[in-house]
Amino acid sequence: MRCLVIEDDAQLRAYIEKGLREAGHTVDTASNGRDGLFLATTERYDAMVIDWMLPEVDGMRVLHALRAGDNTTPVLMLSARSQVDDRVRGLRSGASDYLVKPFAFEELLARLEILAGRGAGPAAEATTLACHDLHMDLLARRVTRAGRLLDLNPREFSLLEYLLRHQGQVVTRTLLLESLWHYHFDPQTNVIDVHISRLRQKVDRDFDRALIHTVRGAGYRLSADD
Amino acid sequence: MSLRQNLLHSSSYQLGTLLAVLVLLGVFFVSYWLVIASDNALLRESEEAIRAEIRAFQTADRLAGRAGVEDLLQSGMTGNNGYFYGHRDAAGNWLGGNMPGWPASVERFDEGTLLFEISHSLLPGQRASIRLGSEHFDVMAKVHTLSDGTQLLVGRDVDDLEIAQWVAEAFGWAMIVILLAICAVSFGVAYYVASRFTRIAATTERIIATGNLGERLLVDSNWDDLSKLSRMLNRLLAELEARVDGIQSVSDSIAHDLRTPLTRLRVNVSSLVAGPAREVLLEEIDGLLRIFSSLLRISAIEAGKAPMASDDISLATLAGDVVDLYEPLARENGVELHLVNGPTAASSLVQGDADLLCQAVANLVDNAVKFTPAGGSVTVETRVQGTVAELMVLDSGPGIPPEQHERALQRFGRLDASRSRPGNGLGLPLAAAIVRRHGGSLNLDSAVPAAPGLKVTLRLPCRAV
Repeated sequence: MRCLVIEDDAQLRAYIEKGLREAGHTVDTASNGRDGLFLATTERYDAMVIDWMLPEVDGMRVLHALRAGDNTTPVLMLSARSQVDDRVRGLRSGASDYLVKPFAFEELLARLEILAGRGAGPAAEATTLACHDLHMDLLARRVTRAGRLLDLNPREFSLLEYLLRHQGQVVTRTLLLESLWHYHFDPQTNVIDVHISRLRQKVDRDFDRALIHTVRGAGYRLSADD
Repeated sequence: MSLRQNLLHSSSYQLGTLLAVLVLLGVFFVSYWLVIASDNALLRESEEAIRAEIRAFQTADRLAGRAGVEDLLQSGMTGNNGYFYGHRDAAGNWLGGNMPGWPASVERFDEGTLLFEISHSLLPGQRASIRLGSEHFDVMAKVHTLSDGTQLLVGRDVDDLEIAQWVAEAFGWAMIVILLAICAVSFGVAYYVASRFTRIAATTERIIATGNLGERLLVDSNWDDLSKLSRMLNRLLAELEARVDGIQSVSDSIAHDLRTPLTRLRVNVSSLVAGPAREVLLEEIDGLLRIFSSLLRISAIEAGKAPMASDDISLATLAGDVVDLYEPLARENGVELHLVNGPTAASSLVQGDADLLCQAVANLVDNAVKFTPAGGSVTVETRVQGTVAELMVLDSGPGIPPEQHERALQRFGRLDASRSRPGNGLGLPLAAAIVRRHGGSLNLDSAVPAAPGLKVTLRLPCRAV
């Protein structure tokens, strides 16, 4: 995918750029809001990373200008501030997602890929989801693996549904918390890991091929390959 | 505290009330004297004196007849003893006396007692009334018929008595009016002072509760000591605000300056060759970052610098979500996690930031699950009492001794006995800061008296739907 990164901290910009390139994406960068806005309005991108505080034109105004010009490219806002209102203000201003510095690069990558991949996965109105020999019937709320019925509770079902909808992508713990519980905070302990490990016991334990993979330092990925 | 309670507990109001009571006692005494004065007690004394004089004439009449009476009359007149005398026969002819003549018009004061006036000009000598500007004496008199049928009038000038009575009445009423005015003024002053103090106290309390140092006390006058106090408190607040802002900006710049290099460090470490050493390093860095962001979050919330989202939240729903989130972890730790929602809990809404409150409740449940040994249980209970929504987290863990409850809510106040446990000691303080920011309170208690286990009670103002 093609990304635009607008970040004034040269080193952080270089790290993000390097990381995205290593993940196989094309990256354009800008070090201030003015250049960034110019690139954003003249080129087509799949996703953008915009820092909140930028010289010349700040990130919030870049976002406003883009949205006012009917540019619907997904935008991930970055902020060094931990202030609680930033998220609310950011999302209200039209940001697609939001990340507070410091963040794990894996988190940024995972979110960006999910943002850019919106609509690319199974359609929202699909009634069945599948990965390898795992099948989910959303209407009957049944999950089978290799023809065997899996007994999942509602929470495990929605967790698996989310993983299936984003199969092949890395899904971070905070993304899961946000998407499934609709809360946005950093739980002190590994609560999400426990949910995943319970799900894994039901989905993977009795089968040769594991579908739920742990991505070290980032989160989880559901896919047929290792 | 209600206004009435505030007034009752105000020293100025109590003093004012005491003063008012004393003044009212004064009013009571003055009223007593006023009643005596208006009862004509002094005039009755005078009447009695006249009666005594007449008794002397009766005695003289009985012993010496008319001559005795005339002797007594003569000596009374020459003695200039303040009595007026008049003597006439049965036909009304003037026989003598020190009055210009038998009074023409009289009014009755009492049975057998007359009141009339004698003009100064008709009297010999310099006798004049002590009443200023008066042209005549007011005289009180009695008429007695002697044994030979002649009539004797004995009277007394009562001007001084009337003045005394008038003065007593006038002063009495004036005193009552003045005392009642003092009473009203002292109540007024007390009320004014007490209500000003109450307002100052209420504002100060609100500032402490919300941590909003930007708020100021109202100064609506310039002349009194209370507005001076308000101005001084405002200066103190300004000073405090400036210092807190200073600390805030220092910690903000620490945040800005350290987070970016920390992020880079993490990126660098994560690009190392995968292995157990890298995982340990990453975990350490994440732990550091988490402490750091928790600290900053607490500061931001406590300084009131973090504006909050304003959602309508049901504590019952919130508790359900958190229990749902922690249920697998609890099961893995061998701890039973229960949720008990009170009957009205679901229909009462708390106003606040759902993410922050969820974080607070999650921290409480997290602690409870973490510190409860396998085989124990954790119960999350919600209920509504009037306009207060309560959420309690009870565990069967080792609990915290009551004397350390306060410390457990402070930053890094983690108790020594639990140092070896996981966590950074910021869970409870963060929860407490969040709850305070929402105008609520967080209390630690023993789950069951004299038994191990901790009960954390979170209280928030709520409204019914």
